[in-house]
Amino acid sequence: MAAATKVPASYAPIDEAPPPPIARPRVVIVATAFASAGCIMFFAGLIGIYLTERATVLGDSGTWLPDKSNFPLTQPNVMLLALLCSSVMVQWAVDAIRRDDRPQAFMALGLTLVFGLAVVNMAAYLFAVLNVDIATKSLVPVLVYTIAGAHILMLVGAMIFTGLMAFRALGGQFTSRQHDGVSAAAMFWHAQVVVFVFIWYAIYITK
Amino acid sequence: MAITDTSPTETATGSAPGASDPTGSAVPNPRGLAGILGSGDHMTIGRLYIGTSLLFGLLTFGLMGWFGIDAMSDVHSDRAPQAFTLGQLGLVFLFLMPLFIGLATAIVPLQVGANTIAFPRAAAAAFWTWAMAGILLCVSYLPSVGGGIAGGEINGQGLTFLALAGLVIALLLATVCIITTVVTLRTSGMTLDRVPMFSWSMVVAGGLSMLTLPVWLANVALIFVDATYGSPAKYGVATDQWAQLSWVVTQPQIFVFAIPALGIIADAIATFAHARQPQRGMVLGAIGAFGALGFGAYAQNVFNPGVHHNWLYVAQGALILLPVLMFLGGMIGSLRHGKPTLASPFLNSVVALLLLLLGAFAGAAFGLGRLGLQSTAQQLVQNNITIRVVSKGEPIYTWGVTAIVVVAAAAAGIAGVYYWGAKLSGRKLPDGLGKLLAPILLVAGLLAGAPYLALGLVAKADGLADSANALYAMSVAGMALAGLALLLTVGPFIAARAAVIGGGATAEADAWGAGQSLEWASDSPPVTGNFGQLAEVTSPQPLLDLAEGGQS
Repeated sequence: MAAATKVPASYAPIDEAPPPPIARPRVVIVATAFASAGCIMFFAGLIGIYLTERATVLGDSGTWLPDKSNFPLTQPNVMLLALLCSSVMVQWAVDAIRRDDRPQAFMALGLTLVFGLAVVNMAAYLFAVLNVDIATKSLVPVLVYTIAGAHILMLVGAMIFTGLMAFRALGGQFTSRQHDGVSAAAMFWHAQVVVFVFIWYAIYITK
Repeated sequence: MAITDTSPTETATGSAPGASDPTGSAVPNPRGLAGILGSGDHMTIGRLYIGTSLLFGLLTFGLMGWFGIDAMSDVHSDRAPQAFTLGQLGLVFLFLMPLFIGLATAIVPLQVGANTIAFPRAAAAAFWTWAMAGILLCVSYLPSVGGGIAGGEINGQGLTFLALAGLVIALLLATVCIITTVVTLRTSGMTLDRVPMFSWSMVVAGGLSMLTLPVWLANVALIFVDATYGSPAKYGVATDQWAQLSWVVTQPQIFVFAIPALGIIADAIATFAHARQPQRGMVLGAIGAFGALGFGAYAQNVFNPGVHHNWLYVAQGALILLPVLMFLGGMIGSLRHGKPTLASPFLNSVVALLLLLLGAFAGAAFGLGRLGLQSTAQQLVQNNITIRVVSKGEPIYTWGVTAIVVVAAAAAGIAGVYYWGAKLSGRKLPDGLGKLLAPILLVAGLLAGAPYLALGLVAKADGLADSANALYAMSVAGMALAGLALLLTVGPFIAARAAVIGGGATAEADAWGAGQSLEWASDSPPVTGNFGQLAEVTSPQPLLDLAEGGQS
């Protein structure tokens, strides 16, 4: 084995305090992109199982939806519309903060959260009118409540993330030069909207 | 500054020797228990991961051995299938993945020239969440709690699924921290194709984990909801749960957990070959292709019956041999360009590569329909052959592939602990002991996996079922040897760290005298902030550039 050597001087740690951190290249954005990808794969797995089970049951000439169940279109459509509007709002917030237009940014972030709350409220009502009992041998209630419930949980997580970034924006931490937090929150929010589009189509449209 | 951004002086609360405070105004770093519990220092978190995962590894190999012993006896214990499921999941989520994450948390920032890991507090939170969830998972399997997969009760199983979700979320969080470090915190001049192989392999492994483990989490969520709130309809039925979850520990997914092994092997072999890696692009590509071909989220036998006969699955199993062979070619190229030193990390890396090659060959053979390797226990029973299994729909052959790949990855992990021992603990681990581990791990891998591969032939080989007990005994011996290897790693690791904390001598920065990448430019163990001002990197081997007098 070669003998241990001294490290060349230009790579040796200097006996001083470390230098100040360099301007970080979008650390929060990159991390959020990976987290969003993981989130999308979670729902891809669930929706994949839903569609597979549905195709299997229908292929066996069975009935997919339980008797007396009610899968209305009105509430899911309103939820989709609200989420699409919220996507516009959160992107408006990013655009506003890029222009250092803080009043508009606050308004846009606030409206995003309002739309999020509206979706949660509508989902609660939708669950009440679905009329499917989870304690049956049907696969539909388990799948629907797991998928839709998990999406609502994730949406609440996105609201908390956006809310935190809104408070930090209020504190003046985001400017036209540094708006990573708001951009990251917007990216995670958009991911939730994309997920709902697939849920809306797979569960409420195709039934 | 973002909320998660913290300067190295704020985050590194470990007691790294040599850390200085030129202003004299900083709050002293907490020591002892407070220093461990409150630390955001990537070295401290990495050490905690490594030590804890090695201890968990001992437990999980023990549980797999118990299942083998039970399979040999005439009267089977009801708890043995539970030991098997905990052992299999533990091998991945309590041992392999956290071992590599621990190594990466400590080493990747050093390799890419970063002052700290991205999101140090998140990394610390991920460790403690993982550790608590791991303990909860083990507790949930206790008879008094009544949880566990394959035989648990619904009341206790809530804890099991909560713990599994906690484990996976924590490991994914830690993965995000590591990938983000490589992607965003590289030092000046270090382009992505210049990062050391281990860092690159962690990016590939992390990406694949982010794409596949959430799908497994979806399975867990579905089982939990059905078992807890449903009648249960299908997913939560106790006897069917393991069949929905076992895809994560069988091929091709099991190869995803071995991706970082390739990075460690490549770094160690290049270092001890004393040569620059030739065909570096090919090796990087091989690691990437190995990862892509390990994607196994679709291979869920429960929802995709007959997937083992599907052409895509069979082709994927065969094609994964190609990147392993490409990688092998790259390593041979390294050795041909240099004069290898037979240090312990080198030997253990060679063992890991050989076992991985065997695992890839075995995985490719699984698709050969004529051998009958895809026979499930249910099909074997129809031919009056009884084999002790946990899930009737699972081919026993796949256990052999899993065991070989796990021991291969463990050998690489152990090579990594010995290789970076000076950085992790402050002094090199005993090289002679490390060399002794190489033959132990080789035999362990063969004994642990080969018997199950042989049992996979039971449908075609008359009388093989009569030898099942001898084959189970061999597998138990393999698990015991693997456990011994872990013991001979965690013991010296803790002893070396304790000696350094107690004021013992520390190693040189470039402890092996042959370092190529930036981690060997930091102190052993690294000071707070890891580095001073680094020169611009102009090649994948900046220390060799400097030693050779070139621009660096």
